[in-house]
Amino acid sequence: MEKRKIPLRQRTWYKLDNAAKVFPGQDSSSWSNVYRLSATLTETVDSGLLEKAIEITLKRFPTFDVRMRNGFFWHYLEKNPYGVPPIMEDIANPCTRFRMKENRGYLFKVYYYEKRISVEFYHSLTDGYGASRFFMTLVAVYLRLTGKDIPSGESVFDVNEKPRPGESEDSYSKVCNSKAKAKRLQKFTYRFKGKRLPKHVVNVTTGYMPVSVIKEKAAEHGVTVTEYLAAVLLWVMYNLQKQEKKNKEKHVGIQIPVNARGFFGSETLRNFMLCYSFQIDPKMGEYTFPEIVKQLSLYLRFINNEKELQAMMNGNMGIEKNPLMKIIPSFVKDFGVSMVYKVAGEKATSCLISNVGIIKTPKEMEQYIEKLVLVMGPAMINGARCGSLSYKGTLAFTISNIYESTKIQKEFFTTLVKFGIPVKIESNKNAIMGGDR
Amino acid sequence: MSYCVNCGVELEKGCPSCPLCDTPVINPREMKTEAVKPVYPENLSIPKSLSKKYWVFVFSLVMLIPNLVLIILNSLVFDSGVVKYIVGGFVVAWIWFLFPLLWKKPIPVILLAIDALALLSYLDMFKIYGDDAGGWFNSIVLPVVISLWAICNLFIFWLRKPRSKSLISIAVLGSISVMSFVIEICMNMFYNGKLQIVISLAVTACCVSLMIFFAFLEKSKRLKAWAERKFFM
Repeated sequence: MEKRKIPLRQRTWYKLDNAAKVFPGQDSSSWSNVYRLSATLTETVDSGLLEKAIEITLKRFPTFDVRMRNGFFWHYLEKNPYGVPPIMEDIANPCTRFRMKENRGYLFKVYYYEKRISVEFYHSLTDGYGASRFFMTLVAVYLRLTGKDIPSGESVFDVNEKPRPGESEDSYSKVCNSKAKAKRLQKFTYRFKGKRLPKHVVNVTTGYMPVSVIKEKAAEHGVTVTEYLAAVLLWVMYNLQKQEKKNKEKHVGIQIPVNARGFFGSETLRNFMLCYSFQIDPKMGEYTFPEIVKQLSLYLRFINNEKELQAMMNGNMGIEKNPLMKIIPSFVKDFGVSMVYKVAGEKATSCLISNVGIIKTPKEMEQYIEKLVLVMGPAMINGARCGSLSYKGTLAFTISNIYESTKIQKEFFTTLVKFGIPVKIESNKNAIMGGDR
Repeated sequence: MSYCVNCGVELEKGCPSCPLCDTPVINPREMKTEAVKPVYPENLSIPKSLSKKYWVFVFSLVMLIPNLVLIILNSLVFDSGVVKYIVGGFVVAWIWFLFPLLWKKPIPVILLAIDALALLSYLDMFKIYGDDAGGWFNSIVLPVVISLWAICNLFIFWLRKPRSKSLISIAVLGSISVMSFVIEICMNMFYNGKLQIVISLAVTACCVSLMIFFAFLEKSKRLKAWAERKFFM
């Protein structure tokens, strides 16, 4: 694919949104904030058609047809002159780091393997909502190219329609008008430690379970599916710390990103999410699972409102709008972010769970897709970054672990089995460990 | 379909072992079926990392720019003698921290010699351009730096074989003691003209008592076990 020369004036450009500004600074030589969406189809994927599908889809999603450029004070996104990213054969170690000059500058990577299409997104580009809309539209366009009759609707956008202005807006700066700033006083938490896998390698384990059964189990505790799964994960991390029999037990924390679109009526396809953090203190006494579910659920229901989100947003925007921060060159800002993230970034949480929710597609499309999976990229130091989504009555829960030990995955999925939820497992462990291990 | 007998989870068709607990999967009904494609391909993709030379270039540039600005401003406006010391300091820092990154396999002895020479040259600048009253460079700087360099060289040779933590601690304490003697002798000879040893004796006494403790620790397994329990952090 040749680079097209686009005159400077025609090169559309976007300022990075508030969340996106942080990610370039967090990048290291072996880590970027990445996540992957995969769809397993009923037929083997044709790479030529997939490339064509991306070309068509990108016209409907201009905020994805970009590359990241370095401004003097901030990074920005600019229309990519290549037209389409390279289509690559899939690899055993998903979610490897991004470099702005690789992958023809695109901030998403496209892979195919047998019947599976996977797209990895750099988090500065979009969040789970935007990524899922782009991805499902891409899959629909691909299926149309193979001769299937797929209508638009639900998560599938009409590629013949013009992009709506609201889809490319920076919703953070548009809706943030709070005068209050949320405090971010979080204690350093317990984290699972062990022998690390080699650089750029992550152990990805996906568990498939029936949504109806999880809903039933969650309803027994009077909570939502996300709250229930988050509580199980927190319970697992709490027990892992207890098994280590430390003299001084640390807080156990979980981070839960939340889609802010519903609260503010935004239709942006760029980042518009915020993270809730919940911690329990083992020094307060023994916790039972029902206690953890109840506390987590009550906390989320208490904090999950427009005003709290505004205050959190205002806290984040305050740093960005600080006049001193504005005049600092971008490379210095990146260095600062990198230092802060390395020192404290992941230490205030033991694990992360991102639930994109139910992905709905037109009924005609469902018969051609076997399963959908969301894989969160590896963490820098934490062993559990989890992504989940539900499709066609099946919830796919994926744990990305940077450690050789599979204790977290084992404890999590066996806990679900013990609770009466049937789980089907698939993993890249054999591929990354080489053969029979 | 197969289930892990240990975890109770359902496994992918053709999965040789449970990904959670490594328990082998033996399902007589699935033994004769044709090979199933694994869920993930086996090719690992390890991205190229940025070379050390790139970082040397970036940091050199970061160091070079303020120095150039300083030299230009000095020649045009300030005309201060301090600038050469600042620039010299940056040169020494570059030799100490960035120069080793240019080597594929740095040879510690040569690297140490270069570092010592750089430091001596930098301090020599103070002698040449500043005040060398009473020959402080030859009387204090030279013997102290050479002694330190010699001790570091001895360490490099000695650490070629793996040594226990206790032995390393003894060696470090011994070196501190020797260095305290060298520094005190040089200082007293320079300022008082007398061979007076007081402070270094106190330092040595502390070091020797600790060295004896570590020597016992090295020999006695019981003491080692006791110390591990009492002083764990």
